[in-house]
Amino acid sequence: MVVRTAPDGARVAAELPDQLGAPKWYGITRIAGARIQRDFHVAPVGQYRLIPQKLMPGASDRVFQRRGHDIILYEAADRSDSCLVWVGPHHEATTWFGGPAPRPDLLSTLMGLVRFEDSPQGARLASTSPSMTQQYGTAVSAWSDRSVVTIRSAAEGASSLPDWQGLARDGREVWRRAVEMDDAPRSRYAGTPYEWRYVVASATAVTEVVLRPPDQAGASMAGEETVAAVVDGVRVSWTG
Amino acid sequence: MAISVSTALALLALAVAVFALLAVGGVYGRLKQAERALADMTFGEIASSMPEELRPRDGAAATVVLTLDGECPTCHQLAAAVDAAVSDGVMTGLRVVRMFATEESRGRHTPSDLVETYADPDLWTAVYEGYTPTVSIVDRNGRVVHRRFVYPDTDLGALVRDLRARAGVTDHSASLLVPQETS
Repeated sequence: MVVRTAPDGARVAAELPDQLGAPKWYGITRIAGARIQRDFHVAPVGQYRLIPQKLMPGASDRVFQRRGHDIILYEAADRSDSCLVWVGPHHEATTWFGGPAPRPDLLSTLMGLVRFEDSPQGARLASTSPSMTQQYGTAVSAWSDRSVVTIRSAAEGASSLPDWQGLARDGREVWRRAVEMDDAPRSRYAGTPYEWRYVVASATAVTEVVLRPPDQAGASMAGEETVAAVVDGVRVSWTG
Repeated sequence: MAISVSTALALLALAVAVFALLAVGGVYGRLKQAERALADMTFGEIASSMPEELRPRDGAAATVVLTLDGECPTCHQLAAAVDAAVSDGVMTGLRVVRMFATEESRGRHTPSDLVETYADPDLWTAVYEGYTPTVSIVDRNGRVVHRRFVYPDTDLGALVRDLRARAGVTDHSASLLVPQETS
């Protein structure tokens, strides 16, 4: 069983079968207020180094040191995109502006509005004025070479559940829904577990599992036993 | 020419209204000024001043503070790497300090004659940023000019070589060291 901290501070206890692979954990959350509405992507620390190397070569950076973390502002050389990254010892959180870096007073408002708390279990982003802002759209996802597992709270995930009744298993309800694919992969993966995404709803969490086909052509594909492991083995609770 | 009471009242009211308008404008201006000052404060660096004990001494340009824990293996590797660097003379011109929270965690590390060691909860609170091991560089004003979290896969050799540049030490002994490193 893995216990993670969701980007909004919730405690997520997840039991994932071994067939889903060894994951890296990511997260997303949104903080919205009168002047600010921003998405934050949480990832294991280190990925921000790719921003000036690959995503925006030659990007300028400006580092603001804070206690326990740095805040880095990257801006593309042609000012076509920019982002702000909170870099802690274990995780990082990025928000993209999709244009030139905002004015200094907006940046400082944003830096003052977001409290970043990092821990080995996950990074938490909280608003410093909770009465003026809302935080929603929070999800935690586990990416491995074999699967992508996305976890939401029951409140967040309820709207994404199908209208019809699913398979009832130990107090959980399980559905499968078609993965949206192009025609070529659709015909290649027809009849395999890869053409479905599996939705598991527990009392407190909604979990969606998508299996990833192996990269090499000769590698063994997931079979019915993997599906059975997902249906029986995915147990997730969301507290907070 | 005498003015009637109602005209006098109207003029008085006008004067009061003008004064009120000026006052509101003045307050608005001061508010904007305060907002800008506040923005500068939050946008700028958080000025965290390090205690006197951790500032550079005896002509050193800066202090390198190693925030260490007793148990983490990386802490032991970092302490050993910095110790070796000090004995090789790579850290000339820098004051190097090991920082522990408790005597117990200090006891888990090999004692060093070359590096100063503190085991002091108050000092620890001033430096600790929620992660060990951490390398911080403190300048003469007690300002943290560089802080770095050290991971198991961090290249400690490169980190140690980087410290002088980060601390702003640019004397000739630095260039003299290059042949020593390559040999």
